[in-house]
Amino acid sequence: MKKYILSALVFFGICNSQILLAQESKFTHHTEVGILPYNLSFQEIGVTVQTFNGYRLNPDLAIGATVSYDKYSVDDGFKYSVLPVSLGIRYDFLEPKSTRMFAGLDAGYGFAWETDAFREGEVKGGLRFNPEVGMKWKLGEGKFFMTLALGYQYQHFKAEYTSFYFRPFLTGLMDQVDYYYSPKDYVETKDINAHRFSFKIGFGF
Amino acid sequence: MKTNTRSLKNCLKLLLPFVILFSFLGCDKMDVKESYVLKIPIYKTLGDVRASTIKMSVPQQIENSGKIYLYKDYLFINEPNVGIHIFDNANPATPKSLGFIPIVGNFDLGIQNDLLYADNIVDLITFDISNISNPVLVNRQKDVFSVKYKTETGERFYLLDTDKVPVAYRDSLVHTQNEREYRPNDEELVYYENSSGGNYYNSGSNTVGQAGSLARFAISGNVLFAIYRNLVKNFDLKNPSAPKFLNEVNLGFGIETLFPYKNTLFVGAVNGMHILDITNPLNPVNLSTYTHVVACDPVVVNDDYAFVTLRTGTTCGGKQNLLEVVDIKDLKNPKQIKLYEMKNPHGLSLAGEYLYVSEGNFGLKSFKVSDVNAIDKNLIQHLDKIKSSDIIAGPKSLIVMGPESICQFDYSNKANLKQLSCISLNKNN
Repeated sequence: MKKYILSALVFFGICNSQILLAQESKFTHHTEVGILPYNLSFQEIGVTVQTFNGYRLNPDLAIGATVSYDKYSVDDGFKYSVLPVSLGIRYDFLEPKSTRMFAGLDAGYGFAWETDAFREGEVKGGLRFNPEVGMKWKLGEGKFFMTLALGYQYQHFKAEYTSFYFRPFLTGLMDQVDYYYSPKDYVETKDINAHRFSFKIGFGF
Repeated sequence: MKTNTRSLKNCLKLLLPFVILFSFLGCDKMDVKESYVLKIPIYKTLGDVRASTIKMSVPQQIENSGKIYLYKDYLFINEPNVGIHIFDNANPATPKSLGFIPIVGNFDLGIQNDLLYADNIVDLITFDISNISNPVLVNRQKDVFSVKYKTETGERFYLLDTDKVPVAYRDSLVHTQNEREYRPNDEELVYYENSSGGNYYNSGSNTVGQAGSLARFAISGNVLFAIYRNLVKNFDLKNPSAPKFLNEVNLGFGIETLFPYKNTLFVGAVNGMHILDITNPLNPVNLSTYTHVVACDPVVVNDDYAFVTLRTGTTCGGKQNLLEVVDIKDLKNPKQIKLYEMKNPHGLSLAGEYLYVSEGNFGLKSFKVSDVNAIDKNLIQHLDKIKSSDIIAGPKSLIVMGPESICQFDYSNKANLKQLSCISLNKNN
C-alpha cells in the first residue's frame, strides 16, 4: 500500500508542476534519471528517477520538493527499492546563459522495501541525502533545459531478518550439513549505510 | 564573454576530484548484529577419526532418526552423523535395545551375510556382526566417498589425515556484532564445494537386509550400490569383508533413493526416476529415465508398476504432493498411469496388493492398489496421530519411522493395523 501511495505522490508531483507552470513562471521543474554505481566498475549498479518541483526565489536559486524512486543492489545481492521524499535546492551559477553549471541538494526520507527477497524479514528505509553538481544546457529559446550531473547519494536502511543466510561450510563432507548448520531463533539486524555515486541526465523548465 | 568561458573551464576542473572519488569510494557500510542458537561443530582430524577404535557401547537414547534397516530379527536405526542403534526385534511388540555403534559421519547402511557396510565420513567401513553383541570393524576403504574440496591452496579430490572434520555438535547461543563494508568483488568466499550429495543403501540368495524406501545404500547380487551426489557408486562384495570400489554411474542432478527389485535398480531423483538394469551388477546399464516435476521422490515397485511419492520439501524444492503410478512393464519406456493428490507423502512400502504411505505430519495411510486407477477410492486406513517419514514392511511387522518415534504394527490384517510397540526419540532440536 505504502508503495502505491508514494507512487501516486510522484505522479501527482509531475502533474502538479504542469499546472503550476501554466499559472506562474516562477515555478521550475527538473526530472532526472540516472545510475547509482559503487564505482567505475559499474557492477551491481542501482538506478534512480526523480522529479524536483520548486519555486524560484531569484533567477539562480530555487527551492522545492523532490520525489524519487531508487533501486539498489545492496550487500552482495539484496535488492532494495526506495521511494524517497525530500526537500530540494537548485542553484545555477556561471555565465553564459546557454550553458551554465548547477548544484543541487536533496535531503529527505526514503521509504524502503525489499524486492525478490530470499530471506524472511523486513526492510525499513531512512535518511536520504543527494548533493550533485553538473552542467545545464538551455534548449532553444524557451525555458527548457537539459542537465548532466555527477553526485553522491546516501541512503540509510534498517533490515531485520529472521531466516538464516546459509553460507556453505564443509558441505563436501556430508549431505545433511545444512540441517546441522541451520541455527534456531535466528534474528539479524542490519544497519546499512549505502554510499553511491550518482550520474544523472535530466530535463526541465 | 572570454572571462566567462575561462571560469566555466575552471569550474569543470572542480569536477575532476569527483571523478577521482567516483572511481573507488562507493560502498555499503554495515553494522550487523546477529543472535541465534547454533550447533557448533567439534572437530577432530580425519586421521584421529580413522585411528579411533569403534566398539559397540551400551544402548543410547536416540535423538534423531535417519535410516532404518531390518536384518534377520534385528532392527538397525541410523542416527545421522552419529552412528547406528541396534535392537533385537524378534518380538516386534517388545524391541530390545542391544547397543550403539558410534560412527561419525554415518548416514546409511547395508547388511549382507552378517557383514554391515556403513559410511564413515569419506570411508566405507565393514563390520562383522555375526556376534551381534560385539560387532567388529574388519575393513576400511578409504576415500571412496570423497568429493571435490575447495581449500585455500586450491581444489582437492580427497581429504588429508590432517584435515579437520566435524565429529559432534553442541548447542550454543551466539550473539555477534560486526561492522563491515561491502563493495562488488571485494569479498571472496572460500568454502568446500556445495552439493546435495551424501551417503546412501539395500538385496540374491544371500541373506540381505531390508531397507526403507529412503535408502541410499542397496545390496543386490553381491554388489553394494551407494548414492553419492550425482553418482551411483558400485562396490564388489565378492570378498565380502573387503568391498572393492568397481565403478560409478553418473545419473545427473539430485538422485536420492535406491530401490532394487529383481534385476532392476530404481533410482529416485528429484526430477524423475532412473531405471538401471543390474543383471550384470558389475556393469549397471541405464535403461530409461522417467521425468516428472521437481520434488523429493522415493519409489517402490512391483512387477508392473512403480509407485512414486512427490512432495514439497526444503531440500528438494517442488510444489506438489502427489502419489504417482508409473507403468514399468516396459522398463525402457515407463509411462505415467495416474496421479493422486496427497498431503505430504514421504517414504512408502508395498506388501502384496497393499501400499503404505508415510504422510509426514499427516499420519500413515494404507491403500489397496490392485486397481491402480482407483487407489484414492481404496484407502483402507488413515492413522492420523502418528508422524511418519519411512516404512519397512517386514516379515513380522510394519515398521514406521517418524520424527518422534519408530513404531511397529501388526499388519497381518491389512485392513486394521494394530500398534505393537513404539521406540520414542528424544528429539531435542
